[in-house]
Amino acid sequence: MSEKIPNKAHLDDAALIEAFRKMWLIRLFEEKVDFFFAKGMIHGTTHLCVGEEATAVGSGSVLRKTDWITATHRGHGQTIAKGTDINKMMAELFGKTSGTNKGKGGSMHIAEIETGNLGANGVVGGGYPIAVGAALTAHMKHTDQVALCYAGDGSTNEGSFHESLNMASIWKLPVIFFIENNQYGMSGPIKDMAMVKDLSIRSVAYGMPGITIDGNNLIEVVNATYDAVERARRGEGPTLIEAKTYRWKGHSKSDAKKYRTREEEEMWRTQRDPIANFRIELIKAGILNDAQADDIQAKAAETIEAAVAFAEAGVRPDADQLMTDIYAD
Amino acid sequence: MREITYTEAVREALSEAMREDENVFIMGEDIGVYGGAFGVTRGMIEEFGPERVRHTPIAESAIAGAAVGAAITGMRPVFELQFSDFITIALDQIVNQAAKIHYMYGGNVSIPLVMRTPGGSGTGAAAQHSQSLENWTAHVPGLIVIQPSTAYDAKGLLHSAIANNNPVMFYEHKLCYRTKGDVPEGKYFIPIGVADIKRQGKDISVIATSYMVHKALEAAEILAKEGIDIEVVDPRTLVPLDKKTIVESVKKTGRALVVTEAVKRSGFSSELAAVIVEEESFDYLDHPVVRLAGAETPIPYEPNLEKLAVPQVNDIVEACRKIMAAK
Amino acid sequence: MAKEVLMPKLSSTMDKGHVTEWFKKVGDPVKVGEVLFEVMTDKIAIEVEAYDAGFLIGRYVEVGQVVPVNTVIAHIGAADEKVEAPLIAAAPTPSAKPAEAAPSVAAPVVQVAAPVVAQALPQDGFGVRATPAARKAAKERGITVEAVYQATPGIVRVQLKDVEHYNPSNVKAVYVETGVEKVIPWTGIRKLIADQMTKSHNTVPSVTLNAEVNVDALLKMRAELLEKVEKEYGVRLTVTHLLAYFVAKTLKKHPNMNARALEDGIHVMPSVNLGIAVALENGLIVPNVKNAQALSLVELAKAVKAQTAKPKNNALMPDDITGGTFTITSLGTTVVSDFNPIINVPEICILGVGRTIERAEFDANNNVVKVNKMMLSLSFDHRATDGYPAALFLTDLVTLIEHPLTLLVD
Repeated sequence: MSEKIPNKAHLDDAALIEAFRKMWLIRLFEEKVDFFFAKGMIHGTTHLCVGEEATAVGSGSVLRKTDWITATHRGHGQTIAKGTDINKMMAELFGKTSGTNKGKGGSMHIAEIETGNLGANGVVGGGYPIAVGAALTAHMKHTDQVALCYAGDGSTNEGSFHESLNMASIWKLPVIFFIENNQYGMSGPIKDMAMVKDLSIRSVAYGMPGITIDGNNLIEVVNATYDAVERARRGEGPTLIEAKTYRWKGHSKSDAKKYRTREEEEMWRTQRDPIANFRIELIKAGILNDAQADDIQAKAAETIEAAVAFAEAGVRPDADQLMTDIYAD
Repeated sequence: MREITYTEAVREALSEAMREDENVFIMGEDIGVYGGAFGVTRGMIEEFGPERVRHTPIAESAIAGAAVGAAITGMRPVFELQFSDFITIALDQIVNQAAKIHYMYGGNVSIPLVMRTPGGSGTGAAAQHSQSLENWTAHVPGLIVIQPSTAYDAKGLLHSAIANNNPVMFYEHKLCYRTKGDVPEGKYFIPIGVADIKRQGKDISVIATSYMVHKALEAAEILAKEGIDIEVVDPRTLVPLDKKTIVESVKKTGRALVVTEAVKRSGFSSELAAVIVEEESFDYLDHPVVRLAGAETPIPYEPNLEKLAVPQVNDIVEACRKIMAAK
Repeated sequence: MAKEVLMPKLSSTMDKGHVTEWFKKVGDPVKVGEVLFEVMTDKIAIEVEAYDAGFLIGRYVEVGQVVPVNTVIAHIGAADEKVEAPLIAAAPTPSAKPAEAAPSVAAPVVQVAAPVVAQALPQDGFGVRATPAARKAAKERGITVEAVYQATPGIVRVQLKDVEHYNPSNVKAVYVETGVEKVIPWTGIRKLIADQMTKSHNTVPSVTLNAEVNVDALLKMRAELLEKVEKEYGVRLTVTHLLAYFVAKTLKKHPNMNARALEDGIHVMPSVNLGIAVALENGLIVPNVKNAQALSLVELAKAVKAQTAKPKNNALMPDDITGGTFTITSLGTTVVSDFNPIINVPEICILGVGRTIERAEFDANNNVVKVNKMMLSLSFDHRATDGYPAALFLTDLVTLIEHPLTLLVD
């Protein structure tokens, strides 16, 4: 097995190529969703993670299928990285019964329990306690499963963040609190919303390790996540990871982005693009050449097209679906 | 059959369920060696150990949410909120997560958790520790809401709650804890969504919940001496509500008196009254539906005021007399 | 004749009493002034003496028996006299010690329905309130909740038990107005009339004289003049016009009847300002013709016609209805034969005209002839004049009407 780019998770070349492909899937998926939303074919609103592909893929590539994630409202990347079916994801956004949630959940609640996706959350900070609970199950059942909780920088100010870190810490639960710090809440710059420069320092208050990394460097994300996951599997308890990154698009479709500058955006797009930079790294390491890299991008585009076709072929739920699945049998 | 307290009945149900299914565990503040604020879990940590009798930090949101996460991933947690008033801190996890995940995920996963919590006034605990807020959760689709009044009902319904695959809100009442009743040994189930006629009568259907059931039964004895024969209907489960039993009772008597401790305005008494007038029972009404419920005030500290804030036996008696004397 | 002995009223506040002791029994002789019995009033015991002599032939109350004052409690009469015992009205016996409390057993409720007076239906536009159960039961029984409500005074909302106990035969029929009451206020002409009539009625001692008058001549006269007068003068002569003419003429001979009773005295007026009562839709008004005595028949007819048209045309001026000295009021077109017209104060007379009917009479040769008879009713103010002068006036008027040719003489 060639491991031209060393990493703690021992991801080999094939795995890294797969990671590259996944990043493209996410990028193209999000762009496609943006396009359809602008055309009015996707209902409600969208929260796109374009520019944050490395945080999702880097962490997701370390997890097993039997591990769990809780995702955020900006969770398409996180769920794709975890392995949730892209066709069903697109169908869900189109509100079709063939979607991950049978059309009843929408973008912010995409879940696929079978592949360890415990669901995205529309409530900021809503996922922390749930991830703790899943970790509690692993703990009580003595499995070595871990729960990885994706969260945003703004959510670290919610009470649930503090309650959850504390509870995970005292009980040494196998949970990784993975903060995607894209510098802004909705419109609130994190530097105005917290008095600490690095959010990872909050781990100290709860007696657990914390680390701040470059979220747009895939290998850095892989390494940090791997450390945390292994620590958790060993029963040593939770870790707080802060991955600094940037979202290229606004908070949601209706965001005019008045709270940041064009220059800032430009800088991140041109200099800190995680996909472009990883492509360079892959080529430099001799894992891929340009043509192959392009081909992967093209194939990813085809996959997205197929997902759209799948979604369009689906049907909307009947009126009688309104009152189903309120209660379990 | 032996007579035990409501507290003991709850403890028995928890213990029996935990003995039978290792996925069942309990979580809450001070439920360990302290035995719970109301003594419900006394002795349980000694039997089941600290892993399954989890003494939590003071973190209602995390407690409820951890229960959700554990329930999604195969456990059957029963978490306790020390006072039902603290549901305010846990409400996102209960309302936005627990109640909705099954629906939002297209029925793909269930949340088999139980929240147990004591509500109600009468212990001088004052405004923030004495509320009856069961209508908040009764309002949210996806939750089951149970409010048992007797030891017998509490044990059988708690077994059913734990066995149910939905999130169940199980409201106990502080003053119910010390009430006693005949309770069978071993596991038994009382079906969720089935009301109980605690006393047969022909003159007035008194639909009462929780501790008000006891007050209604006391009032019944007083009224019987005056020739007024009331029927006491205990819904036991608020959601799903056994409308049929209530409707049939009102059809029989033609008069309905709803008695709840919760504040009248927008409380569950409103739901009960509305059901009576929108169902078949309407045509049989020989008197407007009357509600006795909590005064629209925070619960006061001073004991006499505290009593005045909620319906008492005498209020029920007077209300029944007034109904029968109406012209 | 037996003399009654009564329970005496021995104090202003006494309304009943009882005999504490009889001093005579039946058959005993009684002398005037002898003590007959002792009475307990509301204050003290007093001995009562007999007012009459004779024998106590009847004794009707026992010692202690309480009766109202003036009850006949005994008779004094001749030894062998028989007398009927009177009925003694009962009065409650004051007991010396309180009666034993009755054992508290609830008497069985006997549903004796006392007859009730129906209660009126609610007038608030909504009607009877009834519970759904009551409505259902009423419908099943084929009765209305309104009927139940009326039959059950005191209820606010008809309940099931009211329907079940409904007993229509128990209800005193009470007239329930179903129509709409109309209120005409005491304003305008109604007030004028009311005030005027009340004043007249209250202040004037009025006497009415009735007389029948044979109007054959009058009618013949009218018939003869009718066409000519109409053609030449443009006025259609009526009986009223002719009567007015005759009245004016008669008043000239009886000037004291053409007077106004005022505070300072009876004002005998020089001119006959003759009022003719006109019936309006909602009252009556009396426009008068000034100087009627000076007018020819045609002039008078025209004036009467003009004046009596004015009310209907809203053309009355104050002068038209003031200064009158005599009023004629006619019900001649109706079935009314005679009546007591109220004097149009401050005038002192009013002539009421009744119907004209055909009568059978004996003529001078004792033959039965048909005559037309009209009724006249003359009310006069007995302060200002008397029966005889009034009767004379009436006689002259009747004579003139019956013999109109005498007009040529004067």
